[in-house]
Amino acid sequence: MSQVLLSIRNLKTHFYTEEGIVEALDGVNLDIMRGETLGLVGETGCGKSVTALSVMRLVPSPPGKIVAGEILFEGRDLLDLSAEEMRRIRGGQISMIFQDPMTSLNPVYAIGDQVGEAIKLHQHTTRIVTWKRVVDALKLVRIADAEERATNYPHQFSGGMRQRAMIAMMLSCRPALLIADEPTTALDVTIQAQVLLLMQELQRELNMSILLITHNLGVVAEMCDRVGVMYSGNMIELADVETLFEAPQHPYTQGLLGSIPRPDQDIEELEIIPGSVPSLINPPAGCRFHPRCPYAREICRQEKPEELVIEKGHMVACHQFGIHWD
Amino acid sequence: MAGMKRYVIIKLIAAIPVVLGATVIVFSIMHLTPGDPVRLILGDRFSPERVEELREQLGLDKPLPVQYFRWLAGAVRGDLGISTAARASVSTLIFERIPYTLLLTVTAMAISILLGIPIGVISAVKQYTIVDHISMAAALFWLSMPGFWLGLMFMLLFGLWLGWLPLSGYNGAKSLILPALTLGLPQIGMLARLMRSEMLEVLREDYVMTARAKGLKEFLVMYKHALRNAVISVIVYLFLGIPWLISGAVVVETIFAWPGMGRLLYRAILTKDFPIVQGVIFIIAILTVLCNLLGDIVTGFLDPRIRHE
Amino acid sequence: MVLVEKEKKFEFRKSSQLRMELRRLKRHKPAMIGLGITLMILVIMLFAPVIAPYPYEEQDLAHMLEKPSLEYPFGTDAVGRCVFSRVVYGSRIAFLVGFVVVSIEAGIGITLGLFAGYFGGKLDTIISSLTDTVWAFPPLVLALGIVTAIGPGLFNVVAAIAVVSWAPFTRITRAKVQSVREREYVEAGRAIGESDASLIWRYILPNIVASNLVLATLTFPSALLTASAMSFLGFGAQPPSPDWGAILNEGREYLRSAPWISTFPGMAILFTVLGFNFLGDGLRDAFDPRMKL
Repeated sequence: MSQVLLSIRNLKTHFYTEEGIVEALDGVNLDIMRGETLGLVGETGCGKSVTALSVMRLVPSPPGKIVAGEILFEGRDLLDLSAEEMRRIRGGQISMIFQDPMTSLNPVYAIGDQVGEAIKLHQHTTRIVTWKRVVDALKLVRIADAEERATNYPHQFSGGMRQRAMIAMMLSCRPALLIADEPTTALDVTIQAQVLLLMQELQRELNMSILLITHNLGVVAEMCDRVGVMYSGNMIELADVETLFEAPQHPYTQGLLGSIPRPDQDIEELEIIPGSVPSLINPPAGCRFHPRCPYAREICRQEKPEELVIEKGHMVACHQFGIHWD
Repeated sequence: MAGMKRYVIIKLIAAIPVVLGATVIVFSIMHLTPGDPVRLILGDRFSPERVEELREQLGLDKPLPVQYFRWLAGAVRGDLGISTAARASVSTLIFERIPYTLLLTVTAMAISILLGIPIGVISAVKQYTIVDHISMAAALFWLSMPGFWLGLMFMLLFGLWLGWLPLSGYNGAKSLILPALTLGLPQIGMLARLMRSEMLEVLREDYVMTARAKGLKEFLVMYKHALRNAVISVIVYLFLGIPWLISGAVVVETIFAWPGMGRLLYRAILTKDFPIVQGVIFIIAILTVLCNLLGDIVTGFLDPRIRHE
Repeated sequence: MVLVEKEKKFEFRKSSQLRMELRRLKRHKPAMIGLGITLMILVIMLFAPVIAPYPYEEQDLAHMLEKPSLEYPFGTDAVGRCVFSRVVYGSRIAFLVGFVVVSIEAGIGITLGLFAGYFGGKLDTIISSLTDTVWAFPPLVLALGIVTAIGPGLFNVVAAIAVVSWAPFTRITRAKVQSVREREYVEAGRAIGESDASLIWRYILPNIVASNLVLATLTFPSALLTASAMSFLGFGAQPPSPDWGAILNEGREYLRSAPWISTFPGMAILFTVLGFNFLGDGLRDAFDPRMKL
């Protein structure tokens, strides 16, 4: 059994709107190993969520479309599957949890019914067995009084409990990969910690991989083994967590990390990255970061940088590390 | 169902003042607007003594609050007074005709639901396509339709020219078709638009995405998750729309000589038969409050957030 | 399409925003059609004496119940009047009726909405319950009741309808006022001692104008339909008035022999109502897409 669970190659996803074609993903490359937690960070609009939706093939289809690339999951290209085959994978082998538990659960059905729906769908169980597994799932996510709580409705749960219920729902079928899109952003800080801890425990129990999408670098430091940084539809750096935090190589990553207040360091000023995120409809030519980059040269304006491996497991997409730089 | 009983009781109790308020309004309309009802009935030909006599007879000489309570006391017992023109009990007259009006109204509503809801759902699912544009244009067309004109045109086309359907009165199922269509078709427009707009709102919700992420078939996502939420407002609208349908029935029954409550009201207005007018409006008022109540109850049934408040 | 929530300090319509909304309106095809229809009817209404070949009450007993022809485009009725001319003049009544009904409704509704929204508390509760109670009843039925008591006639019908249909205006105005009332600039005004009347005039009124205008366009059709229905039943405009509903009523007994009498005025009503509905839809999509009727 290969170590690589999911392999995204050259993924391009575009949105066709009235204002023009939004090139949300411009050739994303990503590998997720079995059992690891890979973080995906970047500012709003960089394409993290679109990447997740593309893997699940849930990109809203007008106006969105996956125009190129491969997504290899356990060897099979997900983009080649029929709709029916993809549906069997969703929720069963690859699951996704979303940001806002308030709005992600259907208000008119009981929690137990919603969790049970996922179980019944993938495990084809009878009503009694399904209910038993629902209760087990709720217990697994540490919801007290699981039998009773299963008959409650979403509005009767607190925010943290709702997110746990979502996790129960999406993990009930023991997927190999969990995609978590900003799972704790909408929660109170103390609850955040609990939910993250829960995810770690479940990951160990189920030997599951997690693709953790977030803009919160603190969460990344806590949870992730490796982390990839996205900017304007591209992966611009990918490394294991310690390396990224201690020695970031891409100018954007450096700017990002420099802009975080750090109580353990004596910093006079917070760095800012000048300029603003480019439009995805008419992205800059060459390297999409070049208008804001302090090291930009002529080549940056003309050619898009390749993804270069500068040392084992550390990828940077920047001309500085190319052969032609000096 | 959790909390349902309590919810229903609360709504029932809240309905009582509304009913009373409705009766006050109905009564006020009839008695506070200018014009002397007795003179309107008798005209100018009768002597002042005769006018006073009739006034006393009808109890119109007593102060208004007293009149109100006498009338209310009677209404509660089911006695809505005596028709001045027909010399028969108002209640009897009305209750003989209610079934016909209900038959007409229910059929019209069924027609509008059977067509309106699917069209609305399909338009929402296929938003921005040609199906959507055509459906919505048609919906707007039908809801702009003057019902009385539609009825006459139907009579012309199907009754007089083609001779397929009867034109007036109640003669079995065939005679129900034209009146029901006249009353129901314009409603399709409103219903389709509402259904579409609710569906579109729901389709944007996160839980629809969650349902897809679970791997559910698209069909189930649409109907079990999305529609189930979107339809709540529509169902409430349907209940609240019943009084409006009955109001439309007044016109339709008049055109097609349908022996219902609406036609009774029409004739009563022509003959200035106040007790009947008052009685019919009162019944309609009660029905309105009832429909609102039912609408509330059904909402509580369908939306757990409401009944747990 | 992305709906951008405009974070404005002052919610007055800046000219740039107004221009954007007007541009949105122009792109809305049905709205433009509606505008075209409405303008057309306006022209017909204004130039009726020029457009109509005959005065609407002129009888010509030699040409009774004649089919539509070049001389009488919509035919003639039972006393030889030109139906086309009557329909043309009827546009004046239709517009007038719709306009007056909507104006009175808006007047009552906006005033009540202002008080309810601005002062809140008990006043709000009373006004809101009254509004909701009256609105639950179909206006036609209530208007019929009123007309029974005060007698038939166009003016009576107009008053009757207007007096029971103010609810939408109250609801919208109240909601808007409540949202504006809590803004900081209003609080600031109150803090320096500005009177309620001045605050309402300067800050609140400008914000409720647009939505109420849209609502007015959307309620015009139902006002017209209800008034025509009442004329059709015989309780509205009295003969020889060329009110469209009344002409339809006249044509009823001649439906078999002279169907044109009832056909054309009805088409006129449908056309007018359709035009306003299209226009109103477009206005709402452009200025206040979240407004639900």
